[in-house]
Amino acid sequence: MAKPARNFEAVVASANALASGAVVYRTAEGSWSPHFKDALIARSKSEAEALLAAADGDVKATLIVELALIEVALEEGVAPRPRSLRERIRAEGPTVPIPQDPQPVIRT
Amino acid sequence: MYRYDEFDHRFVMERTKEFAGQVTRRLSGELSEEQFRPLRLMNGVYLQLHAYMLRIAIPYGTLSSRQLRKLADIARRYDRDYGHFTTRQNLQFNWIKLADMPAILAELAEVEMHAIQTSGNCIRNVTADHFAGAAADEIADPRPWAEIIRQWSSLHPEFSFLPRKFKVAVTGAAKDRAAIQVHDIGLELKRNDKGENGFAVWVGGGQGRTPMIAKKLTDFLPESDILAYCDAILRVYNLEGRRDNKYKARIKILVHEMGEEEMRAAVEKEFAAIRGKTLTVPAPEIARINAYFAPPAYQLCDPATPVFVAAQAADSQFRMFAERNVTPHKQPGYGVLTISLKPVGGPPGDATSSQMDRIADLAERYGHDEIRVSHEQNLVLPHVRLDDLPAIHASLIEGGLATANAGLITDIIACPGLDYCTLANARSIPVAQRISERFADIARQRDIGDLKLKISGCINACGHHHVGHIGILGVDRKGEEFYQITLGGSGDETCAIGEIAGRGFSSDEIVGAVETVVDTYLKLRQTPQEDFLAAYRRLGSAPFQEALYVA
Amino acid sequence: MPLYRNGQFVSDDWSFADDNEILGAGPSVVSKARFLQDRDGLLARNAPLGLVLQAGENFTDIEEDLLHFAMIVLTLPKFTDGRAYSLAYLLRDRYDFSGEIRARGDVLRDQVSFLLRAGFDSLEVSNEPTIRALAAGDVKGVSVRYQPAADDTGDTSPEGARPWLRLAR
Ligand code: SF4
Repeated sequence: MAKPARNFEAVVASANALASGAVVYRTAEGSWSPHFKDALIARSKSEAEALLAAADGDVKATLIVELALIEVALEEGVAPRPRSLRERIRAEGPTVPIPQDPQPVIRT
Repeated sequence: MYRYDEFDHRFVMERTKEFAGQVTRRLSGELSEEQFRPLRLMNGVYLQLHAYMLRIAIPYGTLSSRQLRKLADIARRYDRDYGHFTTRQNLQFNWIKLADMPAILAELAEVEMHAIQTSGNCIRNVTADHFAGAAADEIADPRPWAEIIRQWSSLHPEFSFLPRKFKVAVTGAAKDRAAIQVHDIGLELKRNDKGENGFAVWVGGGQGRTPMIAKKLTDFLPESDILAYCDAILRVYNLEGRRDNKYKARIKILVHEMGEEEMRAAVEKEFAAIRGKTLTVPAPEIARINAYFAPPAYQLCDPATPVFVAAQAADSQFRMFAERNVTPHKQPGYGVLTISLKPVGGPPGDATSSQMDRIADLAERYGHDEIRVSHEQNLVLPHVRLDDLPAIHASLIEGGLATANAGLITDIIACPGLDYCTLANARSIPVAQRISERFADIARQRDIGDLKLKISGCINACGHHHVGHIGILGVDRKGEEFYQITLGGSGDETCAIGEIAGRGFSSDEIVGAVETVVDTYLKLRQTPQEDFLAAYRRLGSAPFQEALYVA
Repeated sequence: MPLYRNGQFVSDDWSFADDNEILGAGPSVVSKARFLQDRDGLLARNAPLGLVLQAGENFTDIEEDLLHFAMIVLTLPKFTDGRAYSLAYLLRDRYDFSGEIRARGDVLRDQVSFLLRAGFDSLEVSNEPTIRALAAGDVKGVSVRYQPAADDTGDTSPEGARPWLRLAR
C-alpha cells in the first residue's frame, strides 16, 4: 500500500474491483466509482490517512484489491488529473485505440 | 496436430474445476490476495492496469481452425473483441473479469485448450519453431518433443514452486527460429552420423535485467533421455537456485555463479542417478506422439505453380507479398505463409475476432486446418499450396491482414507496455506505431531489408529488445518516458545480446534516432545484400554512436 | 499444531526439543546443528530420533546418517519455496528413506496433493480453511498425473505408451 508522498499535494484512493478487475476510485460517499472525476480528493496528510484507512476496510471485505493512494495534479482552471502517466492511463484507458475491424491498411 | 486422449481431457477438466474452486474461494474471501496470487498466476491470470488479463497457452504455437474460432468467440463475448498474440506464442485477453474465468476456461477445455502454467514460477508453456513440420531446412519436427515435455511438466509435483519462471524452447533446424539460446533450457533436435536423433542442450539463457546467452551442456543427448535430463536440470535448479532476490533467481544466474563446468557436473551427476528409469521415453511413445504430427495429406499440385507465377507477374502487390511473407516448404508446390499482425500504425500482435475468424476459415479451406503463432507475434499458415496464394491474399486484403512486411523494419515486436502492463516504465505500442508510420513506404522498407526491431516497456524484456537488431527499452526518467537503444542483438543461431548505444532518447526523439541508425546503415553497407546485422557486425557500434550522439 | 497424517488429523507423538533442552525418553526431534554436535549420544538413545531441517538446510554432512532417523521434518518458510519438494524426492528416491517425512510451515490446501506426491506423509497445518477442507476430505488435486512421483502409492499406471502416466485411484 502506497504511503502519501512527502511533499503533500493531493491524492485519491484507487484500486481494482476484485471480481471484475476494473479500475475504481473511492468517492466521498464511501463507495467506488469507475470514474476518476468522482474520486474524493484528500488535500492533507491527515485526510489522506483517513481516506486510506476507510478504503482499507473494503480490501478486508474482499471488494477491492491493489489499493493505493495516487497523486493528483491540481491546477487552476483544469480538471484534476492523476499526476503520473501510469495513473492517467489507468484513469483514461490505453493511449492507443482498441483494435477495430480493419479498414484495409495496405499501402503501396 | 496433437489431440487429447481421455487422460488429457480428464486432466484439463479437473484442473479447470480446481481453478474454478480457487476463484470461488478468493471471491468469498477465504483466500487472501497474497495466497491467491500464486494460484491465479499458475493459471495465467494477472491483474493488469485496467482489468484482469488471461494468458492462454498455445502449446508450441499450434492451433486448429476450431481453436482459433473459439478464441475469437471468447474475445467477442468476454473481452473487447480482440486478442494479443505474444512473444511466447500465447494469446492474451486484456479485459477479462475474474468472475468469468471459470466459464471461459470451461469453454477452452472444450477445444482442448487451457491456461495452465502460462505464468508463475513453474515450467511455462513450451515453445518451438513456428515453421516446424513445414520448413524446408528442418532436420526433424520439434513439436513432438515440445508436447512430450509439456506433458511431463504439467502440474509437476516437484517443480511447481521454482525460484522463478522457467522457459523451454525447442528447434529442429540448424537455423534457429525459436531463440533457444535465450531460454532457461534450449533444445536443438539434431541427427548424428548414425542417423539417430538427439538434442544439443543449452541451459541458462535469458533476457530480462541480466541478459545471458545459454551454455551448451551437451552436444548430443539421445532423444529418449530428454525427460531425465530436464528433470536433472530442474532438480539442481530447484535446490540451488537463489531465492533471496527475485532478480537473481533465474537459472541463468545460477549457471553464471556456479560456472559452466560445475553446472554441467551437477546436472550430469543427477542425470546419472535417474537415467534409464521411468523417465526414459520409450520408442513406442516417441512413435505415437510423432504420428500426431505426421505431415498433412498434401494435395496434388503442379510443381510449376502456374497460378502463383502468373499472379506475381500480373500484380506487383502480390509479388511483394509473396517475396516477403512466403517461406520455402518441404513439399514441392507448397509454401509457408506468414500473416503479418503488424499493419502500419497498428498495435503489434493484435487481431480482432473477425480477423481470427477469417484466418481460421482460410486455414480450413487452404491450409490443412492448421495455424501457428510465431514468437514474432504473427500468425502462420504452415502448409498452403502456392497456387492458392492469390486467393488467400485477396481475402487477407479484405481483412486488413495482407501487410507484406514479414522480417522488415515495420514487422516490429512490441510488448504491451504502459498502455496495459502494470510493470511497465514506458509505453511500447505508440512507439511501434510511430516507427512503422515513419517507415511506412514499402519500397523504403524493402530497400532496408531484413531488420528486426524489438521494443520492451521495461527491463523484463517481454519485447525481446536484447536480441533485436535494433532494440528499444522503455525507461522512466523522473516520471518521463525515455527510450534506450541497443544495437546488434540477435536471437537466432548466431545469438548475441545487443549493446547499449548510449544515453536514452525522449519519446519525441526516439523515432528520429531509429531513423538515424537505419540511415547510417544504408550509407555504410557494402552492398544491398549486406543486411543490417551483418553490417553492424562488420562495422561495430562506433559509426552508429557517432551518428546518434556526435553528428 | 494440528497434524494431518494418512487422511486424518492425529495427535502428535513426537516432541520437538530446543537445542539446549534435555531430551525426554520418547520420540524426539532435533535440529541439524544439534545432531552434528552430539551425533553419537543421540544415536545411542533408546527412542526414535527425528531431524528437522530449516529452510535452506540440506543433507550435507548427514547423508550417511539419514537412515537413522525415524522422521525428517522439512520446513516450508513460505508455500512458494519449493526446495522441500526436491529434498523429499531425494529422500525417497536416492536415500531409500522410508520413515516419516513431515512438512511444517506454510502448508496450504492447494499444495497438499503436490506435497503428498513428493513423498511427504504428514503435514502440520495451521491455516483454518485448509484444516476444514482436509477434515472434510475435500482436498483432492488433479487425478491424472503426467509424472511418476516419489510417492505413487494409491496411483495406477494405465495401459499405454507413457510409462510415467499415473491415475489417482
Ligand atoms: S517488458 Fe515490461 S512492460 Fe513490457 S510486457 Fe513485459 S513486464 Fe510489461
